[in-house]
Amino acid sequence: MSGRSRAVVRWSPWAGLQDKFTMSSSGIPLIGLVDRIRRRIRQLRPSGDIAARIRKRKKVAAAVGKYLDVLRLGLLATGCLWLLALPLSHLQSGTYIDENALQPSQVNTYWDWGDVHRADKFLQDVTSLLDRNLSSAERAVFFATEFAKSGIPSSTQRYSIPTARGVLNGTNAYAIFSAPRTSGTEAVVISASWKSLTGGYNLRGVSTVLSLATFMKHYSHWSKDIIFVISDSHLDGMHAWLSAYHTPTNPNQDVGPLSIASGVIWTALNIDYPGHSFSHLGVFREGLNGRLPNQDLINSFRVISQHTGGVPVLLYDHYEPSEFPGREQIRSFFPTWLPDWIREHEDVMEYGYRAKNILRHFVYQAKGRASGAHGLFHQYRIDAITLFAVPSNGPHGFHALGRTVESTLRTMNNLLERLHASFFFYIITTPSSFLKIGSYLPSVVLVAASLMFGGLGEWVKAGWVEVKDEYMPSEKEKVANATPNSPKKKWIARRRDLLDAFMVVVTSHLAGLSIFVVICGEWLDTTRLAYIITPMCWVTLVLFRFTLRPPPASANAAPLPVLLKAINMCLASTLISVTSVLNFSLAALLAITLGVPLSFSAPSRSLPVCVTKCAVYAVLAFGWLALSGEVTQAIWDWQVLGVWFAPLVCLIYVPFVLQAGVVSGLAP
Amino acid sequence: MRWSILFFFLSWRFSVTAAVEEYREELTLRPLVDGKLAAHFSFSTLLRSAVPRDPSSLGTDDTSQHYTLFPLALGQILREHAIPEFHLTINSGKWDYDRWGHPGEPGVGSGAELWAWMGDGTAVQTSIDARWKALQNSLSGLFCASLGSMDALHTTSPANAFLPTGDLPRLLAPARDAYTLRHATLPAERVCTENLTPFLKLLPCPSRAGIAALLEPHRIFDADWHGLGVHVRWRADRGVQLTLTVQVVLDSVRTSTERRRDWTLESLFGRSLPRSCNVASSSVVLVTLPSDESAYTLSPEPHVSIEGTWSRTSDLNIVMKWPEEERFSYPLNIPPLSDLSVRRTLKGSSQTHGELSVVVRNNRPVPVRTHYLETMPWHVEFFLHTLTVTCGDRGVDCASLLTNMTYTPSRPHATPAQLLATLELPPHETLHLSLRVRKAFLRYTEHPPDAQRGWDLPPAVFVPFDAPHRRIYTPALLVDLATPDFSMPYNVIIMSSTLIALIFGSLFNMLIRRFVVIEVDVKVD
Amino acid sequence: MSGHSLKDPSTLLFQKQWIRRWIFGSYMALVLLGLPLWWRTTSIERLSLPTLRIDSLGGKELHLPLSVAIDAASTGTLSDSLVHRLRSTFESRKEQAPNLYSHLEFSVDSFQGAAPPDTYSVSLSEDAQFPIIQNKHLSVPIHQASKVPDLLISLLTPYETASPPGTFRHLVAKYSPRYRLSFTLLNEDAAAGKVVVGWDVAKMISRWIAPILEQTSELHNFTIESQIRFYAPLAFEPRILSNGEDMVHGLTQEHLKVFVNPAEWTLASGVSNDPVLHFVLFVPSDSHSPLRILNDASQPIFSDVFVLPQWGGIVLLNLPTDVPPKHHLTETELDHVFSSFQTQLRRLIGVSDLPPGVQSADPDRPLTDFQLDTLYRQRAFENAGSSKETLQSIIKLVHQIPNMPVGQDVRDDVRGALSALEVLYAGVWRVPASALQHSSRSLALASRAFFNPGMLALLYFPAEHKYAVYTPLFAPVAVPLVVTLLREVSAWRKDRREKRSAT
Repeated sequence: MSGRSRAVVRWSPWAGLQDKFTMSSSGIPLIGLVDRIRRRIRQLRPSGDIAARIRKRKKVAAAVGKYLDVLRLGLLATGCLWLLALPLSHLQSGTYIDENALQPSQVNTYWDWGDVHRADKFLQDVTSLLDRNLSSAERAVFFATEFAKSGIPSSTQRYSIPTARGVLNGTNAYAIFSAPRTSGTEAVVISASWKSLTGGYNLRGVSTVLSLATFMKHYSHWSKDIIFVISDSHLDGMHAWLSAYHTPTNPNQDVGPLSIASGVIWTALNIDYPGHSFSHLGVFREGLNGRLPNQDLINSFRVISQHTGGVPVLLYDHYEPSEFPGREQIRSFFPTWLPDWIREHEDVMEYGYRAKNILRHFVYQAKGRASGAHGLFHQYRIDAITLFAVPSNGPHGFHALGRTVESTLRTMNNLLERLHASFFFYIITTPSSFLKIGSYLPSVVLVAASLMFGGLGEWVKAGWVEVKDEYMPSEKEKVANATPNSPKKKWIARRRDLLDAFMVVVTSHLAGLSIFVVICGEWLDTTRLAYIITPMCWVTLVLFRFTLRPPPASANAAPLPVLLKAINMCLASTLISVTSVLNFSLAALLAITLGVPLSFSAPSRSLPVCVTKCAVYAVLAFGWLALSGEVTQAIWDWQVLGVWFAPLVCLIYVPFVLQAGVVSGLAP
Repeated sequence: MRWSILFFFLSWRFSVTAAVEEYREELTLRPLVDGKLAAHFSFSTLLRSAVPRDPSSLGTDDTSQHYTLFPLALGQILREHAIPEFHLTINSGKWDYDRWGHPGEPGVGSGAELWAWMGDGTAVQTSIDARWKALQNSLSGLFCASLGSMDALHTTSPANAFLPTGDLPRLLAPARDAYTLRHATLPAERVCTENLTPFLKLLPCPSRAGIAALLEPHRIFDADWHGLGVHVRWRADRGVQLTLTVQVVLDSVRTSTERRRDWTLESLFGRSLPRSCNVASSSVVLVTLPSDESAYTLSPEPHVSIEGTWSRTSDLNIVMKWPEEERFSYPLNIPPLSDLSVRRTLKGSSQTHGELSVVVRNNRPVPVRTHYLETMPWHVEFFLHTLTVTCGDRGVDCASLLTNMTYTPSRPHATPAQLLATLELPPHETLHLSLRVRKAFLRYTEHPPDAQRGWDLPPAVFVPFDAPHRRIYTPALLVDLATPDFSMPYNVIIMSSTLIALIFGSLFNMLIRRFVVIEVDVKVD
Repeated sequence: MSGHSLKDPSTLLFQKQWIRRWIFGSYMALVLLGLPLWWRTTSIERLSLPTLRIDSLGGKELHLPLSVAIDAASTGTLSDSLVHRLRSTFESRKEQAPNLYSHLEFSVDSFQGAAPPDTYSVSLSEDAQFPIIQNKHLSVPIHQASKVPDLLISLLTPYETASPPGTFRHLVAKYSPRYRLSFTLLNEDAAAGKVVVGWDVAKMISRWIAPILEQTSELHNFTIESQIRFYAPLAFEPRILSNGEDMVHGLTQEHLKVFVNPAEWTLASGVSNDPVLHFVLFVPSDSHSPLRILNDASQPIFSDVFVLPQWGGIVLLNLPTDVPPKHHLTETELDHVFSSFQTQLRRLIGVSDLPPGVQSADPDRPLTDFQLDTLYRQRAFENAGSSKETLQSIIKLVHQIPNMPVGQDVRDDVRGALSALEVLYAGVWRVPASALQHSSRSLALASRAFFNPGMLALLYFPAEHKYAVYTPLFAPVAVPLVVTLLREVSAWRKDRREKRSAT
C-alpha cells in the first residue's frame, strides 16, 4: 500500500459519500503497480487538472464531514427560528383578488327588510321546534316543508354512522332551486348546520337559509342552481349529505340516497349564527386533512362584507388589537411572567395577534380537523368557507348577513369557470395579509434537510471505521511522502448488514399499528393506557441495552444503533419534506416533534444517561395517550370523516420515536 | 289527467280552394300546477304536393324554385342538400317533466339538437357526411347559432330512437334505397336574441300581425324556460311541411309583485294580440284549463265554433284570474305529470373515474317499454361490465329488464360512444342503472377555451315504444377532466423541458464517462 | 468488478472504446433522425409558386382580332370610301376611349361573293327601310350609307346605351360564371290593407327572362328563385307631395340609393356563394301609395323603375284602388314589370342596346350576334385583366407574409389559372366565345386560389416563442453532445496517429 494510496484512502469515507452523489471518477482504491499506472496515465491525456479538481472536491467533502454536526444543528436551529419568525409582518404581503371575473361588491343587492322580517318569522318557528324538542326527523320534515312552501323542490335524507362511541343518527333537509334558463350543470350551496361550531344551536343560521331560499326564488339572474342544505348536528350531517351527493365512500356508513340532485357544486357558503346579533363576521376556512379553499373566495368575501354588508371581517373570532376585546385576548395569549411593558408594546401586540391566528390555523390544519361544516366540501374540489357571526350585542343582524351572502353568491354567480389560479398555498395572518408559500415553506424544509444530513452522516459512519494502522511503510514510500507528522491511522470499510435494523423498524411500526387498533377499539380509557404503556416501553427500551447485544467481532460490521439511526433519520426527513407541500402545519408539527428528538438520539456508555434518554423517548412515544379528549376526538374524525391524523401519529410518529428510543437504548 | 281546451280565433279561412301553400299559426297556453304558464307557439307552413329533391340529382343545377308563404331561405337549404326531414331545436333551461308534464313539442333537451334523415348521394361531395356538415353550416348561418361545431365528435346515428315523423320518398339512384339518420347535440348552446330575430324573419307575418307579434324578446328571454324549434317533414299525401315552434315557460308568480298567478297576454308578453295575419289560413289561441278545482275566471268569452271565413278586427287580450286566492300558495307534493321520471347524475369527484347513475321511475299503472339512449363523447368511457340494474329501494337485481343492448364504442379523439338499450318498466317501479366510467386525459389542444368549467355531456333520451313523440330528455351533465392551469402554459413547458434536459444530461454523462486511474496526492495539513 | 479491472478500468466492458462510440453514435443517430421530424412538425407547408411566369405576364396584353368586310357587290363604288371611313372612325374612337377598344385589332376590307368566316359583313340594300341585322351580317338601306361607320362602331362598342347614347359600365355586375337571379315580391305591410298573395312568376320568367338567359348561356349559368314577402318596411319615410286633392309619396334620388332595407328584408337565400342579381317588385302599403320616383326637380317622373348598380333592379307597383284585399297579380299586370326586369337584366350583365332604328332579323332571338360577340370580347378582356391582377396579388401576398401556408390545391389552382391565361395571350381568337371560356376559367381558378381557406395558417408559433420555449430543452442537451463529439474525434485522431507512429 503506497503512501499516495494511503493519502487517498484516508479521506475515503467522504469520498465514499461523494461517490454516491458526485459521479466522481476517482475513489477506486488502487493497489500498487505504480509503473503500470504511470504508463497508463501517460497514455491518457494529462490528468493534472482532474487530480486538482478531485482534490478540491475531497477537501470540500472533508470539510462537510468535519463540520457535519455544526451544519445539522445550524439547519435545525434556522428552521425552528424561521417558524417562530412567521408572524413577523415583514414576511407577509397584502391580499388581492386574482380572478377578474369575480368583481366583488359590484352589484346592488335586493335583500331588504321584508326578507329580514320573514327571517324573524322563521326564527320563531325554529325556536319553537327547539322548545318542543322534536326529533331530528321531524325537524327535517318541517324544514323541507318550508322550502316546498316557497316553491323549491325539497327533500330529506336520513343517515346513521357507526362510531366507536355508538351510532350517529340524524336527518338532513335540503332543497334545490334550479335557476331559470340554465341546464342545471353547475350549482352553489348555502348551508347551515343545526349545531353551531360553538356547540350551541345555530337557530339564526337556519332561519337565514330558509329566508334566503324564499328570497332567491324571486329572481331570475342566477346562472347556477342553488342548493340549500340544513344539515343535522354539526359535522356528521353535512358529511352524510355530501358523501351521498358524490359517491358514498365508506361502505359501513349508512347514508340515505338523495331523491333530487343537481350538477357539479362549485362553491359553498356555510352560515353559522349562534348569537342573537353580531358585531363581526369571522371566516373559518380549514378543511379536512389540511385542505384549504381558493383564497379568492375569502378575499372577495372580505371585500363584500366590508363594502356591501358594512360588517368588519375577522379571522375566526380573533379580535384585532385595535378593537376592544382584542388587546385583552392577545395579552392573555402571552405567558404571564412576561413584564407588561413588553406585552403592551405595539409590535409585540401585532406579533401576538398574528401568531395567535397562525397558531389556531396550525392546530386545525395539523390535526386535519375541519374548523366548520364547510371543511367537508374541500375534498370534493368545492371552495367553501364558514361565515361565523361573532356573537355580541349588536349592531348587525339578518339584514347585513343577508346582503353579504346575497352579494357573495352573485359574485360567485359571475364565474364562467372554476377558480383555477393555483391559489391554495397560503397562510392567512390577518384578514388583509397572508404568507406566500415561498416565505413559509423553507422553514420546514431546512429541518428536513438537517435530518437528512444527519442520516447520511450516520450511513457513512456505519460504512467506514477509523483504526490504528499497524503497517510499516517501505523505504521508497517513505521517500514518496516525507511529511513527518502523517498520523498512522487508516479507514477501513465495514459491512452494513441492514437485516437487524429493518427488523427493529418493522417491529416498531407493528407496535404503532397495534396501538392504533387498540385505541380505535376504545376498549379502555386511553389515559389509563398511557400510564400502563409508557413505563412498559421505558423498561423495554432499557432492557434492549442488555438483551440486544450486537455480535462481538464488529470490527468489520457496522453496529446496529448507527444503522438504525441512519435509516430512522432519512425516513423522517423524507416524510417531513413530502408532507410540507401537502399539509404544511402537519409537516411543521412533525419537524418539531421528530426533528429535535431524533437528532439527539445516540447510544451512550453511561447507564444513567441511557435510562433518562429512554424515559424521555418513552414519554414522547406514548405520553400523548394521556390527553384522552384529543385522542377520542382524533379517532372520531378518523372513523367518521376519514381524517388521517390519528393513523399518521400511530403508524408514523410513534414508530420513529420508538426507533430513536431503541437507538439510545442500545449499547454503543 | 283530464284537460279541457278553449279556443280564441284571430282569423279562420274555411279553405276549400286547396292553395299550393298554406300557413296556420297557433298558440297554446297551459297553466301549470306550480303557478307557471307554458306557452307553445306553432307556425306551420305547408308546401302542398311538393317532393323533396332526390340526392342523385345533386350534381346538376336545381330547377328554379318559386315560393309565396314558405320561407325561401329554408326552402333553398332543403333543396341544396336534399333533406326530406330534419329537426332543429335550441333550448335554454331544464324542462321539469314532473311538474310541467310533457311539452307540446318533444324536443326540449337543453342546448342545441339537430337530427336529419338523408339519402346517400352518388358523388363524394354529395355524400351524407358532406351534406350533414353543409346542412349544419347553412343552418348556423341562417339562425346565427354555432351549430358548425357539431363535428364527428358529436355526431351519432341512433336510428331506432329518432324515427322519421313523416314519409321518406323513394330514392331514384339504384342500390342506394336507404336513408340514414344523423344526430348531434351541443348541450352548452344557449338561445338568445340573435337566434330569435332570423327565426322570426322566416314567418310570413314576422312581428306586426298575428300571433308572432307576441314574441317580444325581453319577455321571452326572461322566462324560466324557452326554446326554438324548426321541424321539416314530408308527407306523401300532403307535401313538405315546415313547423316553426317557440316554447316558453313563464313564471307569472315571480314577475307579479303580489305573488299571484293571474295572467293576461299583456302581463306575459308585454302586448295584447293585434290584428290578425291576413295570409294565415287560421290563427288560433288555445287555453288549456287547469284540472285542479281552483276557481278561476277567463275573459273574453271563447268561441264555440267558427264557420266560413272570419277575421278579428279588434285586439285580443286574454285574461285569466284566480280571484279567491290573494297570493299563490305552492302545492306541497305534486304527483309527477310525466310517464317517466328520470334522474341522471355523474357521481364521484376523482378526475380519473366516476359513476354514471340513472334512476327511472314509471309513473303509469301499466308497464312501459322504452328505448334508453346514451351518447357519450369519447373522453368519457363506459365500463360496460360494471353496468348494474336494480329495482326499488331494496336494490333487487333485475338486469333482465334491460334487453337488446347495442353499444358502439367510441374512437378516441374521433367519434362518440353510443349505448342503446330497451327498458321494461313494471308499473310504478323504480329502476336504478349504474355504470362506472373512466375520464380521459386530453391533449392540450383539445381543451375548450373555458377549460376549467368542465365538459358538457349530452342528455340521455328515453323514447317509449307506444308513444315515440313523448321523448324524455334527461338534464345535461358536466364532467371535470384533468385540466392544466392554462394561465401559465409556457412556464410548464419550460419547466418540464428543463427536467428532461437534466435527466438526459446525467444519463448521457453516465454512459459516456470514461473512468481513468488518476494519481491524487493530497497534502495533509 | 474483478481485481484486474480495478487496476485498469479501460478493460471493463462498459469502458471499451467501441462501446462508448456505439452509445454516442446511437445518440447522434437519434438526434439526426429526430431533427427532420421536428422540422416537419413545426414548419408550415409552403409550396413554390410559378413566380417568374406570373411576372412575365406583366407586359402582355390581350388582343382580339375584329375584322369587318364590306360587300363590294352591294356597295360598288362606295366600298373603298366606306373602308377608309370605318378605319378612321375606329381610330378616332380608340383615341377617345382606349379602355373600350384598345384590345381590339380592327381590320376592314371589302369582299366579293361569300363573306369570309368570322367576319362582320356589311352590305347596302335598296329595298330595306331600316338597318337589319342577320346573324353577323348588317344590311343598311342605301340612303343611310353615310351612317354605316357609326352604326357599326356602336354595335361593336360594349356597355352602350341607345338613347341617350352613353355607357352604363357602372351598372354592370362583376363577372361570375354563375349568377343566382332572385325575384321578390315585397308587400310593404301585408297586415295593413291590401296584399298581393300571388303572381304568375314562372310564366313571366319563361316569357321574358328565359330567352336572354338562353342566349347568354355561353357567358353565365343562371339559377332562379322567387318568393313573396308580406312585411318589408322602408328604412325611411318617403317625401309627401300633394298637388290639389291627390297625394303622392315620392322617392328622391337619395331615397333610391338607400331604398333597400337589408336589416328587414330577406331577399335571397344565402345557400350558395354565387353572386345574386335581385329583381324586386315593391308593393307599397296603403299609407305609402301611390309611391312615385321623383326627379331632381322633385317632380314625379313617368318611370317607376330603377336599377341599383351591380345589385339588381326594382319596380314599384302601385295597386289600383279597386283591387280585392287579397290580390293575385295577373299576366297583364305583370307584363310591363317583367319587361323592365328584362331590361335591367341586360344592363346588369352588360348587353349593350342596339343603336336606334336597327332591328334584328329574327324577333325570337332578342340579342344579336353583334351584341353577344361584343360582350364576349369585353368580358374576356376584363377577365384576363382581373385574373392577371389576382395572380400577381397572390404572389405578392405569399411573398410578404412568411407564415402564409401554400398548399397543394392552391398551387394547382394558380398553375391552372396561369396556363389558361397564357393560352389566352398566346392565341389569336377569331371566335370571341372561346376566348371568353379560357378567360373565365382562368379567373375562376385564380380567385379560388386567392380565397382558399388554407391560405390563413390556423396554428403557428412565432419563432421567438419557439426559441423561448425550446432553449431550456435543446441547449442543455446539445452542449454535452457537441463536447463529447469533439472529444471523441480528437481521441480517435490521437489513436490513429499513435497507431501510425507505432507501425
